[in-house]
Amino acid sequence: MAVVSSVAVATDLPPDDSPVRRRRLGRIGDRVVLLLAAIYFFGPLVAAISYTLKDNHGGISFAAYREIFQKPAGAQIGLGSALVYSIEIAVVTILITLLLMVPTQLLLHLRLPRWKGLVEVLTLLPLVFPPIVLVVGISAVYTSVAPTSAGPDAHRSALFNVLKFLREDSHPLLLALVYVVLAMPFVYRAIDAGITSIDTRTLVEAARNLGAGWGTVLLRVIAPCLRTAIVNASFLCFALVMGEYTISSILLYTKPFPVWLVQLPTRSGQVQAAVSVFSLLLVEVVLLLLGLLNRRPNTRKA
Amino acid sequence: MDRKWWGALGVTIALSAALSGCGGDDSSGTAADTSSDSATAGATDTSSSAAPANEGDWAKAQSAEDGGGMDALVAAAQQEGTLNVIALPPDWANYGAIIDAFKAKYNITVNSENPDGSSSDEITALKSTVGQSTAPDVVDIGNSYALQGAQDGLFAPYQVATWADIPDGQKDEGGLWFSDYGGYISIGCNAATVKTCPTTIADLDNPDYKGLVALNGDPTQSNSAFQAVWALALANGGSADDIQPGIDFVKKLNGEGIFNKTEVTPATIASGATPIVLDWDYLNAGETDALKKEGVDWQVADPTDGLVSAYYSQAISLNAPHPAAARLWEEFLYSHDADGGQNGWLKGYARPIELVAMQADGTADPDALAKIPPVNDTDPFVPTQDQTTKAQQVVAENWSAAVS
Amino acid sequence: MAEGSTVVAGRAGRPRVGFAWLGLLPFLSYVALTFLIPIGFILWEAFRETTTGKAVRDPVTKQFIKETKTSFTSDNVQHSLHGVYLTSLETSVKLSAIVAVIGAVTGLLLAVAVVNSGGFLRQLVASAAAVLSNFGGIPLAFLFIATLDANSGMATVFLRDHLHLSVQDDLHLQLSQLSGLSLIYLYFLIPLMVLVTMPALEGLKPQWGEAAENLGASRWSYWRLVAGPVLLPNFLGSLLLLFCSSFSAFATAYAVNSSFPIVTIRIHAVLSGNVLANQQNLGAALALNMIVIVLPLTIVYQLLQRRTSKWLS
Repeated sequence: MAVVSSVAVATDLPPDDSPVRRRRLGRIGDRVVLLLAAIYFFGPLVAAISYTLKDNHGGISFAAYREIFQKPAGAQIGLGSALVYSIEIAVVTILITLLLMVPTQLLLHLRLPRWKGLVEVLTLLPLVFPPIVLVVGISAVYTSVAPTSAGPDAHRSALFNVLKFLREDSHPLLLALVYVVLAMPFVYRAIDAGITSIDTRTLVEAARNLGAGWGTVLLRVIAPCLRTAIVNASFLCFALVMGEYTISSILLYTKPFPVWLVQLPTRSGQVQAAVSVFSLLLVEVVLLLLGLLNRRPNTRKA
Repeated sequence: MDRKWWGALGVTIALSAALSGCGGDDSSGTAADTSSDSATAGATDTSSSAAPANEGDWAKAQSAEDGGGMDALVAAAQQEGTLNVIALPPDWANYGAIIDAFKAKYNITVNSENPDGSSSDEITALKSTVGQSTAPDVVDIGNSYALQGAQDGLFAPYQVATWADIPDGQKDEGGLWFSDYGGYISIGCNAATVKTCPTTIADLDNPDYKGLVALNGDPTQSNSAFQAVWALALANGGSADDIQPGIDFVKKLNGEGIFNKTEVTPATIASGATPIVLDWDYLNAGETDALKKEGVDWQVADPTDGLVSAYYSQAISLNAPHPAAARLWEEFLYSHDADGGQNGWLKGYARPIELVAMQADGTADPDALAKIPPVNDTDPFVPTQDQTTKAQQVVAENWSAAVS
Repeated sequence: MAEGSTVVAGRAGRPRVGFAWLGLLPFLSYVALTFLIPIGFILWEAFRETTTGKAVRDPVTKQFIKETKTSFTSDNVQHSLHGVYLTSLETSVKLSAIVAVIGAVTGLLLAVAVVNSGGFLRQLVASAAAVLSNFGGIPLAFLFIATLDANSGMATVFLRDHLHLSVQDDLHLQLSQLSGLSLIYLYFLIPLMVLVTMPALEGLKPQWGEAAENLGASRWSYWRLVAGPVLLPNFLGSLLLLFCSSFSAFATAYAVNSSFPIVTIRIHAVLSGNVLANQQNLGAALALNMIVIVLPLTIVYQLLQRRTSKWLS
């Protein structure tokens, strides 16, 4: 529809090589790309949704989705608790990530450009390993510091106690720490794109010349300019935490939302499909809402 | 790019390697702790000691009597109040009902973690959750993993009350692991979609079944798929020493387009995407019940030309957070009661390890017994651990090429 | 420029030299503790082998006491470079390279289209990209099985009944083979590309586009001579990112075809399966191979980037 009308317009393009013609062609190209993308991304989703809504008698039934909302007989917690659990982990992950990466990347950009290469390689490394390798590594570390005998009076080293604390089910800091590492490749690029697109050096110099301390520079000068990058990085962390299954399930966390969803006691293929559709749509809606809240006036930086 | 860069990268990596290498290996011995106060003689047979050696200490008790008797065990378990199990899908050999029965009988909460976990995941969990309250108390794993875990000192020795009813060779002498239930590789078939269901392995090689025959997973990762390949081997001239004919048979089926590589799930079985599935007979038979409700007629047959059976193994974690509950669970699983674990597995179409003894003393549930897929296994296929390991290697090397 | 020589007028007007790298310590120690050490364990194991002597059972505790000897060996690494493991490595590289290139190019086109459109679409795509780039495994596999499964997929049935086209024979698309898997991988790779490219696209100053237009450059010339060189480092980096992401992807391929010969599935078989026990060292060797392939790529990328990043300082 949109494509057809654009093509109709194209037939009466101005004959010469004017910017108007180029812009119109460009817009057609964009529209085509967007249409193809929509088909590719929505197509399978539609197929899955129609499978989940199928009724035994050929009608539409939301039974598969209803099963997700009611607390299933075998599950320990309900949907709400699982969501809250994961959101808490996500918030902690985001905080640690931002606190760690933003100052580090600023430092790199302003003072240590030669180290950028090393840091970038380090941030790419987590991407190279399948999650199972990381889990086996973590369990190997664990085994090496675990007490060598059983029973409450066995000697437990300080390191073991720290690890044990991090791993607790009620406050799974270990998961947050691992997720920060998993998010690093993407967060690094998002923040790097932000830093390189604003004239950081000048901003910092100007602020310092006017007498600002580093705290003020970071919080009141740089951070607002990096807002898009920081928001992007946060969204990435959030989506990662809400979608990560392998590591948390092998480490036996049953309460995070993705684990809760996949381990929902059900035999029905429809419910299993509904689960994946639901998780996708839910996280997308949440991110959209957050994005709308974060709306800024649509001005391009000069 | 200069030396400092390389130096920094090298130092970082070297530091980490050195730090990790420090604690990584252990060339001394096992994880066992020889307790200094257990002076009982005749230690190889704890069930007949006069005085309970580990009274009240259920983490060290090696049998119910050793810890002070069944009643004391029940009381201690109820006081612990919780049991952590892992990798027990509810529709696997009727585990769902068995767990519910245990909960109801003793009023103990059962946390069922990572129900789709593999045997490796269970061992990893045992190693990475030491000291956690969510650590698994008991595991149900493949035999190779039980043997390895025993060597690695992960399990606590325990002999259930019905220990003598478990055949020798199906349990560790010291009680570190013991077989629980098993079944035969079978051919499951959707009678609505498939006109004539195959009942032997030779039947499978039929162009009518184009795109229909699947294994439950990849034989380098799924135990049932691996055993299925062995069944295919036996039907094509293979033996405990030679699994290659099975791989060749699959290659043949693949070449003829009969072999279906789709991942088998309850959804694909119900939807007709995988109409013929080779899997354990207790799993296929379990599907029959579930699918009847959805109007699908799922038939199960144990192929006479390739009878392969295998048992899984139970073990109690050495660092179980709830040692008494763990031991009570094992007692429950091996009791001959009508609502006990052995009959529970029987009702799940699996063959419990103590079936022979239960048939002898009449405690086997006759209805459940009648419903198990019939099998006439005159020459049981019992490969040694070495033969199994060797066959696993052969499959690992040659499978991908056969199904590409 | 030269390290530490940027003179920033501090409180006392002295140039600050040399201690800036201390600021990197939090980051370096974090990465070392949470990542390098667990991974270091694994890679160390790639060169080790544990042989156990005769195991003797302790009569009281019933545990095995055995002499275990761990020694250095290259056997595992050698084993990991032969037969099915070598094939898996090759297939992994092939698959990752193909989808990285396709994903990078299409992702770039999509990102350009979205940035030009602006408004709500931009917001929608930005959040969708974040969500979809983390969407994988069984749920994603299921979407495509529901659509393109050879027997019962919706699109398969539609094409067969209405257009008389067989997905398998005419389109040469089989979900369990490279063609189908590539299509599925793109479902999270393209959003990933969009995610990392949109911020860079927004860094392109509109004045450049306007100036180019005024000087008579066609859209293609603008991209080739102005925007392209500026974005090239980001594009190359994103390409590498996509390669790494698909190279280490596991759950999606496993859910579609658990026999597909890629190295991550082999690692899973060895470290997390139900059949092969006691082969951690081989798994470690396979993981080591993955690192050995990716590390030179990142170094090549670093070299390329230094040459091309003159425009952004």
